[in-house]
Amino acid sequence: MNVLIVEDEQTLSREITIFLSKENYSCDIAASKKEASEKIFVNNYDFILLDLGLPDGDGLSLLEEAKNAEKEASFIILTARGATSDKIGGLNLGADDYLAKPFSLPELHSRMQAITRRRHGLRKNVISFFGFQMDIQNRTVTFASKDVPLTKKEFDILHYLLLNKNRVLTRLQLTEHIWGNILEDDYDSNYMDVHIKNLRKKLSGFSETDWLETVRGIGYKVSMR
Amino acid sequence: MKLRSKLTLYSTLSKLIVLVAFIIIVPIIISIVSTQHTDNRLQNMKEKVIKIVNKVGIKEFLQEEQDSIFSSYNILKEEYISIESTEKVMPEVHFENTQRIWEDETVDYRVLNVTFRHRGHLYMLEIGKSLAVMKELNLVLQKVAFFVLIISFAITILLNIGYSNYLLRPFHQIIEKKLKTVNHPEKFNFETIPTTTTDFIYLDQTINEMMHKIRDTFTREKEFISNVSHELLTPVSVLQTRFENMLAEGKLDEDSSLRIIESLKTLNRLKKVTNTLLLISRIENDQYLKNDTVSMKKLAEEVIMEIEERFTEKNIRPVLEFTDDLELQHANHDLLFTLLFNLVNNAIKYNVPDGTIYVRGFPASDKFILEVEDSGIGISKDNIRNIFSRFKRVNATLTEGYGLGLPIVKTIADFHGIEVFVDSELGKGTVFRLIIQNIIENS
Repeated sequence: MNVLIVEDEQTLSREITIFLSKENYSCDIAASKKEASEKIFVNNYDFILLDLGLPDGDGLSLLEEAKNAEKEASFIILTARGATSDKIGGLNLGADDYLAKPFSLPELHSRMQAITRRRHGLRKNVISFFGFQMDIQNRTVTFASKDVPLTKKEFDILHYLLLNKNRVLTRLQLTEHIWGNILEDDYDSNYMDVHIKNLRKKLSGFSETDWLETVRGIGYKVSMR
Repeated sequence: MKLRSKLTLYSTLSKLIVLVAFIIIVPIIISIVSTQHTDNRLQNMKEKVIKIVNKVGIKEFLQEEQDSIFSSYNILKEEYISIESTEKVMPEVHFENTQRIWEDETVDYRVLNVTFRHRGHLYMLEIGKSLAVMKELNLVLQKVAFFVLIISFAITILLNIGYSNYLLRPFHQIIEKKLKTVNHPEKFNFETIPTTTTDFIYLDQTINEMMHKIRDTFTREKEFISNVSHELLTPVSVLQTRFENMLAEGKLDEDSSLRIIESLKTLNRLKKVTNTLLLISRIENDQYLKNDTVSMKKLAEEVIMEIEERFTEKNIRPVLEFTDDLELQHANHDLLFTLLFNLVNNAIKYNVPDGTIYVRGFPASDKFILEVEDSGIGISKDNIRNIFSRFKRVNATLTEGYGLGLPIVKTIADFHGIEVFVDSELGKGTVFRLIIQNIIENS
């Protein structure tokens, strides 16, 4: 899939490129509104990651332009300005999602996957893993048609790990994904370990869970080959 | 009291005083004037009588006998004349009110007494005029005067009210169109209120200028917040993604990985502090909408759900006690969630293991109270003053936070017009009490 990263901070677009390339996206970079505008009209992108604060103008107008030209690309707004009016304005103009900087790369990836799923119908709405079936729409996990009773948070953690399979997710990344918008002030906590422990306990009632690995000192990983 | 009502009240009262004074004074004046008028007529009549006496002689009226009296009443007894001879000399014309009995009828008269000399003899002349006639006249005059007064009183009051209304209209427009509707400087109505009164023009201009200044300050602050957040959060963003990639590449040894994780935690801390300060600034800059209607009970349940693992970890029992619910209108759900989350989170953090946390909601007269009570370590009296100050950590050794939880609570509460009170006893626990005013609007 083709991604255009519209971002004037070069180092940031480079890091995003490195990450997304591993997930088999092919990335293109535009550092200004003018450059982005040209690239959008020449190429067809699946995703446009749009920074609003560009040196030569407001990124929102770029979104409007592309929508008027009936470009198919999905827009994700990435901004550090974080004003609520920007968010509302962006989503009203047809942006598909909104991520406040700083965001974590696995979070960006999971948002992109969610959009892809929405765009391409609901065909791939069930994730199969080691005999389990995760229905994303109904938010259920089953094993051989039997319900695995997971809490909302356990479901979200498992889903997030599955979306970023074969990649270590740190406790912090998982915490941010689950409690993202809460400005709590104790950043160092082991609540995630408790959730993972409970999750393992529930899943192991049905099957082996050695695919849900603990990476010592760092975090957790779902290994799938 | 409104200026208009005060002016109306003042003009009505002052006119009423004048009216009462008139009602008291007018009859007196009328009676004085009419008495004088009667006296003048009596004088004229006296002149006429003396003239007639001088012309036709006293014999036409009086016999020679000493005590004979001439009296003449007209048929309706409105007037009478009497002449008698006398010895006493009265120096001047004398007027008095007196009663005369005539044919079994007592009649009040205004009487003129005078002595006059005719051919060497002294005579006393009395001319009376019935007071009944005068009184009748007085009454009529008083009625007319009273009627005229009442009418003019009513007319001037109506005119006064009308004029002061007209005069004060620009003033009310300033209040209704500008001051009452302003809840944000960006939404201020800058149109000029039409008036010819220079005081109001000045007032209107001054208010407009002040609002322009406030609006500019607001806009500048908004830009500043936006720039600061961009300038601070973009580098954090760069570092975070770089560290995440370094971890993801998996080329690092375990020690380096752990150090990267620590760096990410530090970055996260920087990010949270920055975001918290920006949140406070944005709330104070009125950048959040208040379009939600939030059920306090549901909000408490959401917060408890969101934070359940912390209860489990410390084996703390959350108790929800709602005797009633409040659907708070014109609120921001996410901000209120943050407020209550911070209070409950604090209650857990400063609680003892196996403790209890009560979240209570109940109406109190026209307000709604939301309480978070913990069975924790409590806050000393000296420290309570500081708990809402930014970056002042009360129990610094016991918390890993950076002391912005309660300042956020205060800012969000202020934004919603909610009052926050704290009761605490060292070693026993703390109660945070939110007093929410919105209940009238709700019912």
